[in-house]
Amino acid sequence: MDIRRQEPGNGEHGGSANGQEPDLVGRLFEAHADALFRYCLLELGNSSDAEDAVSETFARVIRNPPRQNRKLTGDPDRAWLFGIARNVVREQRRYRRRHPAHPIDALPEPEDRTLPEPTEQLIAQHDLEEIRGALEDLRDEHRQVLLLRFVGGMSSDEVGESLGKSAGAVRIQQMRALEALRQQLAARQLDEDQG
Amino acid sequence: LTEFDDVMDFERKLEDPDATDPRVQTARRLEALATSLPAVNPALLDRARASAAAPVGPSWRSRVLVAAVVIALAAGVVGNAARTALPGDALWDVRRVGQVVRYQLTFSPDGKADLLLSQAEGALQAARELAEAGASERAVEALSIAAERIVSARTVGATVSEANRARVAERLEKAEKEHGAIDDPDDHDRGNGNDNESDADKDRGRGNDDRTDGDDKDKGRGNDGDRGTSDRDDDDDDSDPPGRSDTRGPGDSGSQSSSDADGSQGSSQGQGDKAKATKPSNRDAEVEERGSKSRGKSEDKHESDDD
Repeated sequence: MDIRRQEPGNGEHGGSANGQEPDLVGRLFEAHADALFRYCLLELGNSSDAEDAVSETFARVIRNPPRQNRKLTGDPDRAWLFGIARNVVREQRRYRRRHPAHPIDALPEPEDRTLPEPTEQLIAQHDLEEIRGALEDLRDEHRQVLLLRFVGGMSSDEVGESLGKSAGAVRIQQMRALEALRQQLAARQLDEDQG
Repeated sequence: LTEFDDVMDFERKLEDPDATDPRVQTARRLEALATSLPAVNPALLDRARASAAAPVGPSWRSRVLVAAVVIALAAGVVGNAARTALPGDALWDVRRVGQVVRYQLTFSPDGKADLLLSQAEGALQAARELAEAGASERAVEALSIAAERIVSARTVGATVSEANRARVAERLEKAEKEHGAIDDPDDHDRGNGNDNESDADKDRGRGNDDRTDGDDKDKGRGNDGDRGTSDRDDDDDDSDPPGRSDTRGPGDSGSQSSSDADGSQGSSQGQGDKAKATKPSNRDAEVEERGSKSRGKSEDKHESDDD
């Protein structure tokens, strides 16, 4: 179904989802918000910033809805949304660099968690911190490719479209980025074992 | 080709669930972490709607753009108003800064000479208007600036191209004549209308100088650097703005006596000096004073005349 060609819903910005068929923004939210949130969480490292980023991303979608003559498959939607989210994340990171005294809560509150057991939660927490730390040490373009590809679930073509690169260039960068991440994780593991 | 093969091979490994490549396992670990992360809070959509409905201020880009436009407009308005500013006006300094900037941004000698002459002509025009309006101090300032520009134009004029040399020289000469005319209109009229009289005055002035030369010049060199160097500057250095000492006004007897000595140097250079030599009342008074009073006392009197 062509979600871009729908008329704006009953609400002011595309309609409300209360008891009605989801409007354009609602559909986009349902389809991509989880991946966007995870992407933002790994980029920003805490759930409140990630939620802010997702909220701001969709607010921008509502303010500037996609052009109706765009190609209307699901993949361009995702690339387009992640492009907006990437800008929002970049702005937030810049803001944090300028205001470093920002509280950090690595994971969401317990009621938001989907992990059932405390042990698994601890393992996930440890894994998250370790991988996030390693990602932070990567070059920005490597981190972007990995997050869009493996956290956002995008194909190389979509990542290329989102980053303005060819799919071939994305594949090469993805391979190099994975090698860099592997080395970072190995170094961290070594430090942990020695410490 | 090797890297291309590696990439394609790696793509195949990524699709293979049993791949043992450590890079692929790193990718699997990243994917596993992503799927283990919590789902998004559905309330965020309502938050986004509320956020989008809230009025949004102008972005920093539009603010910067507006500020740049306002500054440019203000600079344009002020700059335009300053183009007609006269000495003593609030925008006079802005005009002078603009002149300096324009000069610095002009690179060819021909352009520099034309610019300096235009500025000199503008200053002469300002001096004329101010003199007519009775603002003598401001007129003197404008005249001084015109003199500086003329001197600079003369220096730059030596380096202009052959094609423009005659034209620049003509403008220069005209500006110098105009400067002399504004500086002392009585002398100018006399110089134009009655050269013989002027020459006679000059001779008279020279004779006066001869009469007082030994005494005055020695004293000037020994006691008064201002007057003494002013004389010597006229002799030694053409770069000294013409009429700089002349702009002090008719009461400046020290300059007059020294200029008299220079009167025979050339028509343009000596014009103001020649004119000065034709001030009977001041001249006679000065000679009388020189004969009877000391140099310092004489200066005091002339300075008070200036005032």
